[in-house]
Amino acid sequence: MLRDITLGQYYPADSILHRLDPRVKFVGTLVYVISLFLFHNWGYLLGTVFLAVMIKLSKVPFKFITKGLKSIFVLLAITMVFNILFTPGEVLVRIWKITITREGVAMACRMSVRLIFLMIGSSLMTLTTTPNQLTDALESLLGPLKKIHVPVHEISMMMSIALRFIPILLEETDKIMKAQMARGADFESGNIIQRVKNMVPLLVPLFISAFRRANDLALAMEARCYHGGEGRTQMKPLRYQTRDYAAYGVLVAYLVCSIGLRVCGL
Amino acid sequence: MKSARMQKKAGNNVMGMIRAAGLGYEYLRYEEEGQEPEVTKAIEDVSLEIQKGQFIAVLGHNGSGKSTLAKHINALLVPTEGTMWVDDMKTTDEEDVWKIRQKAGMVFQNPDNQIIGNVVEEDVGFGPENLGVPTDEIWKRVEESLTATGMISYRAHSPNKLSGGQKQRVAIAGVMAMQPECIVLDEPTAMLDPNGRKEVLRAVRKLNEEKGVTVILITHYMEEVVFADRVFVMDNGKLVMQGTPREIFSEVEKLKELRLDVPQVTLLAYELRKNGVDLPEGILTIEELVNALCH
Amino acid sequence: MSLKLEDVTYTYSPGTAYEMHALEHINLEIPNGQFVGIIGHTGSGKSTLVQHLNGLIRPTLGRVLYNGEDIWKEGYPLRELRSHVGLVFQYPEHQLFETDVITDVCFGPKNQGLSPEECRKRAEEALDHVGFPKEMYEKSPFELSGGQKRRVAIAGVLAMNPDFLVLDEPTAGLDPKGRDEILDQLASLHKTRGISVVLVSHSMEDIAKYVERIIVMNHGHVAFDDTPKKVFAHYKELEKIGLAAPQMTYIMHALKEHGMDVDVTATTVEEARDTILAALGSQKKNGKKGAEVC
Repeated sequence: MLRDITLGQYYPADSILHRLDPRVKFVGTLVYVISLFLFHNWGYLLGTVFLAVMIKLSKVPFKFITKGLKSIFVLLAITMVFNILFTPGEVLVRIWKITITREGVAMACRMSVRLIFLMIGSSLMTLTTTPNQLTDALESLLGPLKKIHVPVHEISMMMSIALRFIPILLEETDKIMKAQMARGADFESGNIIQRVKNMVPLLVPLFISAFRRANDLALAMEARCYHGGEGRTQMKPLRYQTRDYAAYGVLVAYLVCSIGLRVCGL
Repeated sequence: MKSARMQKKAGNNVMGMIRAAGLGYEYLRYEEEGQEPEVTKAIEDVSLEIQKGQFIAVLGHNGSGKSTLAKHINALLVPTEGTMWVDDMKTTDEEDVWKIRQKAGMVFQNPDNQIIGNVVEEDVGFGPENLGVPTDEIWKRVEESLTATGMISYRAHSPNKLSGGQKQRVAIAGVMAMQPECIVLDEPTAMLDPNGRKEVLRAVRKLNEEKGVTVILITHYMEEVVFADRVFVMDNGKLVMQGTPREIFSEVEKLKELRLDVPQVTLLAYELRKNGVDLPEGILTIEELVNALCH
Repeated sequence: MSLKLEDVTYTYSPGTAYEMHALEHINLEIPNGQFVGIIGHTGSGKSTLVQHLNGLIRPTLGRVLYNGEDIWKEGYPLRELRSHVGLVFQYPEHQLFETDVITDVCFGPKNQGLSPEECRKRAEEALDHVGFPKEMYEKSPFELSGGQKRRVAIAGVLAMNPDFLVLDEPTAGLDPKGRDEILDQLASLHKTRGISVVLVSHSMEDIAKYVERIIVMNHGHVAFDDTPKKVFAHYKELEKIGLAAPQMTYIMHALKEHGMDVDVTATTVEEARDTILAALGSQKKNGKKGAEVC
């Protein structure tokens, strides 16, 4: 039941986006998000065209991309209501004390488009990049922070271990829950306080198990000569290819266009 | 000068790759608050020698100290008494710790808790990465060790989708990629089903026979011990028996006292002998028993 | 009292790409007081099967009957069923959570709504049954050795006074002596309290020694369901589905092939010894030497 959950939402396919260096995709997503907040009117057309081309290039079915939108539906609704109701300006409709303004409607539309595009843009990154590549990209991009003693290598190692163990712990939760149910435990009824109390037989073994695993893993890592990031080589180092430089070129061009549109007030 | 060096070399050949002299490990146990901690000896006065290329089995009931002994070979624990040498390096010398861990790799009981990578090949590459091996060389080693353990076709899989036996073979490959001379396996089959146990044992025996890797296998399963060159039996932190499997398994009564077992064939032969059937001591395989009974 | 599965089918993630039939059309009945062994390789559906017995998994199709009543019909007291059918999972010591042994074992009876005194009485009885020493009742379960933890965990289910006790590999990871002790205690429980024991195990030797009936699972189907001797007579078929017979079976067949007149259905060391001795005895009587027979 719980084991069906796959983390991240990588969609395996062979496309130019899948092959790009994860750092390019990371930076690209960032650039796209920035551009969304630069746009006024015509900019949105540019943003839409850019996104559409990326979706086409990714070879990920559109259905998968829009899956993530469900989770932001509530946020989207709240944003729209707030913008419609509380933006002052030229009044379109007035019902009792509620006024709806032209600016409000425009703002609400703009905000929703931004949110939806933002969501699709970042899903596109996670759909075409494995969680491992993402942690590698993060480690590499945050590399300069090592100079100010930020433990970049350790953070990325922790993320990658977490990715490995979350499915295992989920399965374990399922198992302990069933084992306690076999002893008559009840996880479903009672008021809030009762329910929290009923969780103890689940949480205590789960924590103990997590600590035991952490201990075992630390020992196994030490036994395999792990001693931090120093003097470590990489099996799959990130190396830029020609296509990655080309992609950076496209991104720069896109950013320049977005800024240009903004400056021209279009 | 020259003769001294010669002597040392000659000594290397005679003396084992792994040697323990008067090894002891104590730790403090806190029973209850406010009480004086209790000194517990996990192992006591263990002396042994293991030659290069040998297949060693270590037997002992739960809590007999065999895991503690195993961790000393890898310098994960250092003795509180006596000395452990791995390839003439003392495990207490801190500057040699990483060299020792590279020489003597270790595989643990729980297959899930020792796989670090999210992809099989990345996990196998973890050890060489830590050793600072160049990228091209890492790929070569990963391919070699996955081939040696028969897991090459799973290289791109997630470890979560593998069976227990397959996970242990990945763990073994991960150790092999560090090119150790010796591999210590701490109950690697305890959590596996019979088929997984067979897979792992086959892989380990192959490494020993084809690559000459010294193997130290800690186990509860008597059938896995039959192929060993030498067997050590631990009890209460002490080394109480050692010898060839045949020598060890001819002492059925003593093994039972030590909470251990003998392979079922051996037990049957023992029972028959007790009832006056003329059979040699320490029968280990079905063929031996059938031949002895029928000829 | 009996447990009955009628045409039970269970499908994981139906309707998705991960769809998998864990069980297909299983028909079984476990009567009161039987000692049953379930064998099958990993992934054969035996774990899914045992979780149907106490209503932790709801069958996709078919019915599960306890004393003739469908346990999935509306309003059936499932929690009560779980105290009649005790299920001990693999590595059960991983579910211990209380600060001392006795309180942990009381968890089950407490959930049944018994009084504290009654709980304690039940817990003590259960701990006694698994051979757990009295002076360690107040210890933290996390300080115990692996074998002792396992006993406490089994006692935790036993304290609910089940009529059926289902155990998924109760001896995994224990040393040989610990293995034998736990199995002997289960056998004595079966005898003295008359409860049914369902033992899932990978060890054919253990199964051969203790159970009176074996259910062999393969790919979600029941491949064999018979007495141990009859099941192990199919040792060649068992091998085909990734299983094996006890070592004794192989020895007996090898001896028979060499012309010794032994009973090939012997599965335990004792049986094997007796039939070999008998065969050797009759050889002597006939004045033949071993070498002449083989």
